[in-house]
Amino acid sequence: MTPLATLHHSTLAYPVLSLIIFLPVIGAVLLALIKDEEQSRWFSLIILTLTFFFSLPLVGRFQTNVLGFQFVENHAWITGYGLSYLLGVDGISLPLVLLTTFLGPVTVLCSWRYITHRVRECMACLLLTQGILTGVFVALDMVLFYFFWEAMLVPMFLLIAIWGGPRRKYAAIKFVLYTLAGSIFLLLAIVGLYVQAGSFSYPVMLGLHLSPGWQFWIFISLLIGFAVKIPMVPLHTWLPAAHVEAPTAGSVILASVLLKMGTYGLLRFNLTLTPAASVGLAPYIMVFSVIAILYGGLLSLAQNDIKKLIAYSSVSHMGFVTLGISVLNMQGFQGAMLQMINHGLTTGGLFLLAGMLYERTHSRELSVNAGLGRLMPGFVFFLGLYSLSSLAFPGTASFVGEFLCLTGAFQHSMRLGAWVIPGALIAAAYMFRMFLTVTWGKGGDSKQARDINLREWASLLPPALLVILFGFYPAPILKMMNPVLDAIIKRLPAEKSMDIATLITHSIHGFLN
Amino acid sequence: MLDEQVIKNMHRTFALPLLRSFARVANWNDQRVVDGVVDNSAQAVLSLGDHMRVFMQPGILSRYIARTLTVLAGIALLALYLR
Repeated sequence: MTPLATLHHSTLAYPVLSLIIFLPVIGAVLLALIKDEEQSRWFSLIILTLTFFFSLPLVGRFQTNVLGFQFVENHAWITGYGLSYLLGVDGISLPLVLLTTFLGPVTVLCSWRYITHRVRECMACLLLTQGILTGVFVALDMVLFYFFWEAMLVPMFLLIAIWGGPRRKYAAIKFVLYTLAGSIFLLLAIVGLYVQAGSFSYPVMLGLHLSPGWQFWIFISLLIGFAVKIPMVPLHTWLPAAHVEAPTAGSVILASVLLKMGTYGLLRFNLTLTPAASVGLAPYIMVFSVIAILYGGLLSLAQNDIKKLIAYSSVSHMGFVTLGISVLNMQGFQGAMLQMINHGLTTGGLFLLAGMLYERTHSRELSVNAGLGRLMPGFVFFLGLYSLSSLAFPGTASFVGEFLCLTGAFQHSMRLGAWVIPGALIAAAYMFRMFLTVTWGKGGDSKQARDINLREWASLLPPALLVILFGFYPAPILKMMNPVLDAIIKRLPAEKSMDIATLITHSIHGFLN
Repeated sequence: MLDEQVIKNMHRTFALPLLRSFARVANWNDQRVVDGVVDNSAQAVLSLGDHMRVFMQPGILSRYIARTLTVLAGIALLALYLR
């Protein structure tokens, strides 16, 4: 058995992973008993804060020098089909689990006054989303993973369709249809892997040595499923619609955690289960990543809607993540993982700020919000910090991730690195445009200016502190993920063993025979 | 000092408008072409479904009977052929 697939049972007395999945889910059910809106807000905040605190022992007890999955929970589910309730975390899933639990209370805080009708139901959706998203990152059985992957659509659909903007139904349906279309390919890949492995267990699948033909098709199917979620250009058009229409909490969840499901899937499943195909097809992902970085940046620059601007910037930033993954070297992988975490914190923060502006002016247009920042010093402090982090300014979290992605790209080839550089410059252009307009622009409705209150400080400050902390000291995350990333690299063939033409020929032969 | 002014003017006259033009073209392409394909495909499926509904459920009894008889005749012919 490969060391990556080793299962280490929990050193804690209680099933910590099940607890952080099901505590919010049970909380969502218990909300049915609470009639008062204010109480339901407090209840949700307490549940999600407790969930975050329950997830902290994962950091304390996590052994960074041990390969394989830790805190494993394994129970038979449907034995006839090799299904099991198998949960565990390793160095690449743990940071994402912590990001999810960390942002949970923030989503409740930002909905406190933003959501004014059906508050209890909204809180239930937030709690459900939290539990399900955690499940995605800890599930080690492919059917369980797929269950969480799909289940997430339900509360997200409701969040957009009920508490969203004027075109909420269009955005919600587009989001669900797009994601479902991608998920069909994911399901196909899972079935294909089951046929080969005879089990749905991911650790069992890690022992597979698939033929090049199988690898090719499974890689492509997984890639389509994940590319929709990331989203990679040209499968990205659901994202701006969903972001613009979603309530602030929905946008924060989408940008901070949901998009990471796709890149997590690429790193976790594509690279480990189909290593030869990964090496063969990586150049194509590089091309799409560069397109996403430049095209997403340009799109962001053209927007006058603040949320749309941030949404398109996510397309560009996630391009850096896929670029880091596709260069298949240690710097690229580290950069991709850090960029996932940092983008979650930074873009989440920017969406919080966009929501706060909307609560004051009831508009997301740059022209309406122009110059408001002059009267809101606290707001501008956070806008400045998160904008700097978004454009990867040294000393902020995103800088480290983006720098490592770029180093990985340059290490792969100088030409690839050179293509990406303009993306970083465009990021500066669109972020400064937004920051300068909101802070010193003219023509905005200054009567609506009201600086951020204590609750808003409470939601903005924790991610901001992490943005600064990881900007100067990313070592704890790197230490956590390095052994796994190193093991993934070791699984990859040293050289491109097959080119794309051979892979396709092999797969056609496989079908015919 | 002069050089600084020249660079500033060049930046304002050429670089920024060029970048903005690229951004506008990209935005047009994204809304009309990339998203256009998605929205038009969805519209086509909706329209096809609507046509199918009208075709399958015309609400006219004689058409239902004619179609039922056609299907039955088809089954009978198939059965004869298979024998």
